[in-house]
Amino acid sequence: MLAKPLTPLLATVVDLIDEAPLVRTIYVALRDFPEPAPGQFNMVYAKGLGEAPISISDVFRKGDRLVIAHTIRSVGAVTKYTTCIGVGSQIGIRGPYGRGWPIEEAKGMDLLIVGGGIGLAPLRPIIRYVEAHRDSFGKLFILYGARTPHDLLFKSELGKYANIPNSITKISIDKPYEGWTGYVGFVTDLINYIDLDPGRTAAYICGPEVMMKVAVRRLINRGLKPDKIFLSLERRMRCGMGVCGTCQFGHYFVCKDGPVFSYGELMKYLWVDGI
Amino acid sequence: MMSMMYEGSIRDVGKLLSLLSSLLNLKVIGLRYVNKSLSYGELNSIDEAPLNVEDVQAPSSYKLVEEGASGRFRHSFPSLKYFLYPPVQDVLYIGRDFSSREAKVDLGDVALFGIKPCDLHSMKVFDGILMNRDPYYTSARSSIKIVVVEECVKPSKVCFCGSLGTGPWASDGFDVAFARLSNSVVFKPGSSIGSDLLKRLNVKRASDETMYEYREAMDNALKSTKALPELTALNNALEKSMGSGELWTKVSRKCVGCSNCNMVCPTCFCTEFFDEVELDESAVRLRKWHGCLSYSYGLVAGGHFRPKLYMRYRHFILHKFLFYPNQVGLIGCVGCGRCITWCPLGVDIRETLWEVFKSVS
Ligand SMILES: Cc1cc2nc3c(=O)[nH]c(=O)nc-3n(C[C@H](O)[C@H](O)[C@H](O)COP(=O)(O)OP(=O)(O)OC[C@H]3O[C@@H](n4cnc5c(N)ncnc54)[C@H](O)[C@@H]3O)c2cc1C
Ligand code: SF4
Ligand code: FES
Repeated sequence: MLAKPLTPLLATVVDLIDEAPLVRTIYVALRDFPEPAPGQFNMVYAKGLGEAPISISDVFRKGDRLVIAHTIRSVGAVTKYTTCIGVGSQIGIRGPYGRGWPIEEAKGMDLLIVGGGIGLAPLRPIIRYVEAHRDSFGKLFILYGARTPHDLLFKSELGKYANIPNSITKISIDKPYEGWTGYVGFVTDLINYIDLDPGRTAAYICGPEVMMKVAVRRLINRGLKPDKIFLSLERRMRCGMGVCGTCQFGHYFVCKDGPVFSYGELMKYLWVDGI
Repeated sequence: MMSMMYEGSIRDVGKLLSLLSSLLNLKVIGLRYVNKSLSYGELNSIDEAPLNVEDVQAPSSYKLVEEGASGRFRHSFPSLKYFLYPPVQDVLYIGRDFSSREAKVDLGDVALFGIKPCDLHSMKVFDGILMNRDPYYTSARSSIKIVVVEECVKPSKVCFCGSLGTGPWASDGFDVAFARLSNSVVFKPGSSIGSDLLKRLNVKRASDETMYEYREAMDNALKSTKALPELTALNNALEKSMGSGELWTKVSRKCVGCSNCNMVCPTCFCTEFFDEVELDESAVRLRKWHGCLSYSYGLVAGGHFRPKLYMRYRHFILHKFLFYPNQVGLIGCVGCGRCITWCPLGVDIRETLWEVFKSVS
């Protein structure tokens, strides 16, 4: 690991999908890259601009190469750079980093996925995993919300989630929108509309921190155990591997101890403003 | 203080320094006091060590005096991290064609000379975070072959190592420790190499009187550096205080968020990375120290993780006392007092801790 931990590998962009306004999925192909686990992230490097932590939103093999998807919203230097590249462009990638979602441990249980906005990106590998191992899990609930119908990610795929056996997908948008016939309100409201068996459900949440907090409260009220609720935290990360110190949240280094934590692990800190 | 101790003179300290380079072929690194200025660097002889100068320290005040100095030097703002984890460091060179090369850290084989017990301890804290994880630190740290510590007979007004068990004497992790008493110098080996080195100095076994003077000096130094509430009770108080924004706003009222404390703290290790682009489109990836007290530390596109100053000050304190023990098994404050001296407002961490302690206990 000590060999060249901070050197980005050169990756070639093999596909691009415009998902939503300002959001784009970039598929890069890499050789000799460790297979990422659901919930892990990479540091994406744009020469001259810097690095940004980006979740891995999909992984598959193509020949001897690993294709990894990063779904990126343009907000600043590095993320905007990724909107002006094309197929064949090269970017730097290092990773995969962090502790991802515990899925194996949830075998035999019902799974609840709650995603807000860009937060669906790191959750998608769980859905992939369940599809590939459908008999190992009970029910699958997918709750997903975005500000407007345009902001929904993976649009062509969302409709197909309903075809996953023994699953329920519910989608919300924040405010009424012309032509939208689905639910209007916060994604966390949808928790009230599903039939949860709290004793046998594991929940996986990713989205803005306020949304995750509301989701946690609702799920605790519904009787889920703190160690069966998982959230993926976002912090400013400069190294991704536990040396720069800037991602600290309480005594955790979010980059290496997380980004995924159980609510049980976070309970002490989650409600403390600016900890 | 169990091992056999020896006594000699200041000349033996000089001889020890020479042995490190002549016998062990090491580069001797320590604080140098040359042309009335202090800096880390290679010590060519004992005359360059700050042995005849005193640092007069108080909250927000630092003065070096020679005239009438007790000759008791403790420290200045550069801690060991200047040497092991420099303020700015090259990390990568990225070519125009995106080829990359990692920067190398090659310090040669080094002896640290005359470092203080508190700074020795800070290396353990750094090790816990960075050793075998950060390639540059790991390489710099591995270059240290010998550590010679000077124990503190007369701590400064800002020193509080005695509250934390990190000083005023050294207990482990060194090769030789020495302490300058009124008419002699006592030496203590901390390793077998240390014992061998001392045998070459012709120092003799410390007499009972010398040992008595040494123990008394250390005892007094310990007393003068006990300045914090009892640590378990303090920890409980800090734990309880965590959610009280009001209390932390109050205790951080003097802080302006300049981050000086982070820079001088021997255990603050946070860094940030950035690219410097050259005209030929190649880039150097650098990293430099960054402090949790500064505004940009937790700033992100569309938000801030610690928007208020009290949150940043609270993190500084809680990290040292509550979070480090979880992260590396040690309290992250070594009691050197640099943050007190070099704070432009004289914010005193000892007062902060007492204030929190009294408010919640
Ligand atoms: C574990 C993790 C996973 C993430 N996954 C995704 C993802 O899948 N898709 C996505 O669009 N975004 C994701 N983000 C957020 C993304 O990292 C930031 O939007 C991005 O760093 C912005 O960088 P920039 O250079 O474009 O912005 P600038 O504002 O120019 O960046 C300046 C600096 O701030 C940092 N920074 C800015 N915003 C954030 C932020 N919100 N979180 C952390 N650091 C930030 C940047 O890394 C950079 O070092 C993730 C963040 C984390 C911590
Ligand atoms: S804090 Fe303790 S060990 Fe450090 S210089 Fe002061 S007295 Fe010496
Ligand atoms: S991102 Fe650097 S320590 Fe976590």
